[in-house]
Amino acid sequence: MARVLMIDDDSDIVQAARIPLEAAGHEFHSAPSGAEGLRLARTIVPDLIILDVMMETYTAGFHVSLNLRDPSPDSPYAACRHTPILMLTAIHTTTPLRFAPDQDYLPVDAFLEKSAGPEALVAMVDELLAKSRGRGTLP
Amino acid sequence: MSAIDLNRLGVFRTPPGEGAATRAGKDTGSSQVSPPETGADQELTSSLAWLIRLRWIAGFGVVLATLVGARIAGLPLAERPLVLIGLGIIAYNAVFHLIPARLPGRPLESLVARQWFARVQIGVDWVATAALIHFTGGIESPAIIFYLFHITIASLLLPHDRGFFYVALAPALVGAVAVGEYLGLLRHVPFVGGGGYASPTYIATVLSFFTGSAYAMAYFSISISRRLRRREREIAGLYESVRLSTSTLEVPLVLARLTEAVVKALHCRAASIRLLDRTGRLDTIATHGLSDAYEGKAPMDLGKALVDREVLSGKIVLVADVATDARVYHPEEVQAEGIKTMLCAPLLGKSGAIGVLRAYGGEDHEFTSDDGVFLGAVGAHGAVAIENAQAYDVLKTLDREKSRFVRIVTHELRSPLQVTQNLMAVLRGGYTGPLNERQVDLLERARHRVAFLETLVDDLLDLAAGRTDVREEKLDHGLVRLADALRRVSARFEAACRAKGLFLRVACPDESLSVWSDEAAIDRLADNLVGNAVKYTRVGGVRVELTREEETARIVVADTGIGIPTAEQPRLFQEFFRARNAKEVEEHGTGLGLAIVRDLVTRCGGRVAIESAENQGTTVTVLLPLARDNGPDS
Repeated sequence: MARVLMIDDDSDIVQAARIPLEAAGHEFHSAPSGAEGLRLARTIVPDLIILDVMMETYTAGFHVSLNLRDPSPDSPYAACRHTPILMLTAIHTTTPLRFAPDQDYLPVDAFLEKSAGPEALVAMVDELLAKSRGRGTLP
Repeated sequence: MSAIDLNRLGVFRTPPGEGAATRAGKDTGSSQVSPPETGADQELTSSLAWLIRLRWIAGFGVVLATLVGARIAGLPLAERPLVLIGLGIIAYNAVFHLIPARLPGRPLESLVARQWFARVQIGVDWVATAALIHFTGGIESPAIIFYLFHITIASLLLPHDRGFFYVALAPALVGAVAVGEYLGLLRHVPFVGGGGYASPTYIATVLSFFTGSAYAMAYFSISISRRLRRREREIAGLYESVRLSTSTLEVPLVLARLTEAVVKALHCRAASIRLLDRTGRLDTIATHGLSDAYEGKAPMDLGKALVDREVLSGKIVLVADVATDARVYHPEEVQAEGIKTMLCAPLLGKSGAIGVLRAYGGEDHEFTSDDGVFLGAVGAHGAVAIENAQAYDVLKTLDREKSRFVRIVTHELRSPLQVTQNLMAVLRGGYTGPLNERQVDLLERARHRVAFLETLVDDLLDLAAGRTDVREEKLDHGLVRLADALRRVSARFEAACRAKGLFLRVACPDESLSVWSDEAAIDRLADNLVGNAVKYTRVGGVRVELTREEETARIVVADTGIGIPTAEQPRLFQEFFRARNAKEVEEHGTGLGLAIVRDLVTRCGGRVAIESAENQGTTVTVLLPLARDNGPDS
């Protein structure tokens, strides 16, 4: 059981994620914009963040991830610095750009296509959580 | 000189693309361009060679004529000096012949050096001719007439403004010989004259007739050669403007080349093109030989542009002096460019005048009525070239817009479908409670239809992407190994084939075969081919083969399926077309698969062919050009 924050402006997509994740026993929170998502991340300190790319701006999701990973000591999001981020996106099919997780360029842990079904979503969330916990227990 | 040698004119040496560098005069960097090169350089070089050829004839001619005249005809000729003069001519001609090749450091590269070389040669010739005249009777010599040849040659070869000065040297030399002989400073060598050399009246008469003839000769030669040169330039310019009307469809390039061709052909200072914009104002959009400031002028109201208004009504207008012509709106601006006179012709397009083509001349330039006719012709051809280029531009923009629109629309269609699919997947997955059998059935039907819609949208997106601007598409290009792609894609259909009891054989003996393309595009191509084969085959199976055929990769996907009725085969590649028997197998299909295949293959520079017989099977053959670094050893 983990606390999941989903930042996505499409309430239907949020709903399609909420039901299987809650069914899998996770505590689910959601925010409809990047700005709202960042605010919520500070207050609830989630174990995992599911992030959309295009929200209030075409690249709102990128900004959220860059803010969360801000390495400066006085970052307001320091608590989320190591929270795994799963980027939920359909960007591969709508722009000719290609993204891959990159610590410098785009600090997220994994991508999942929006078209992936609920089973794939739950599996990916569990995998990231397991990795994160593994990291956390290391000396 | 009488034959017009177009190749001697510089315009034909302009390499493709050079016109772009002078893009409407903007990139010339400086506000003035150097005087246009009309090929005078090449002309002088070939004329010098011609002069040397003539001189061989003259030298040998003198020797031969002297020998024949003295020995056979028995004329009282001063044989030895004349033969020596002939040999002398041959000797110095040999020197002139060898100089250009032997001199170190190529001093004759410049036009000025070659003009001096020509002057030296002509000077030596004139002295030789004076000697010839002296030894054939001085002022009584019939050889005086030879000077007229020299005068013609000098008029053609030397800059015209100096021609008349050189002409004066001929009577001066003849006069010097005559006066020298009269005064006894030179010994008179009698030939056929009757002692006229001793008569001042005779000398004065011959000299004045000779001087008059020399000047008349020079005048005719110079004016004929001027006209010829002008005609040559005009014909070359006209040819150039016609040629460019078919050589490019880039608007700026067409404009730059037109102005350049005018300047070259009319040998004038500058040229410009002003086009009517949508608001009915004239915008100077291209210049050659004018300052950036002049080109950058704001569009002008037609009300103020009196000259242009006259031109747009179809007339060719000459402004002899911009300073005094009341029709010129801002004479000081024009004068600041060093312009005194201008010639303007309408750009007459298919639907009337679309703008004005202007040629500008400097302080000592004069446009002739022939120039007007020429500019009018360039204006007519140029307008067609401009209109074609503009039409092509509009088409390109429209095509880009259309593709962009389709992409956006397709994306907008795809998102809700995906979300719907996700929501139904949650329902179907039992996350909201168990479903009964009828609910599952209905939900599956709905999911099936939404999945079909998704495919349709994906296919449309593929087609739209294929027809989008190539630059965007090249982003993902790289070497794609065909064997990998075919195996990867075929693997996706293994389960389906097992379920239908079909065989699926993939044979790719040459692992190295690669094409330069986008991996996703090749996957999509293979997916369509193998997918179709599996879908429309009930018994037997599917064979996928990759072989090399010279510089081409040959992909064959053959099935033992339902085939395509012969009558329907011609329509196979049409969007949304589906064969009659295909609909029996699969009720819903987009009919876009083969259209996409053809699109993808065309984008890779390949070809696709289909062979099919109903109820026997279908063989699709795709030929793709191999990537270049994919040699037999690689």
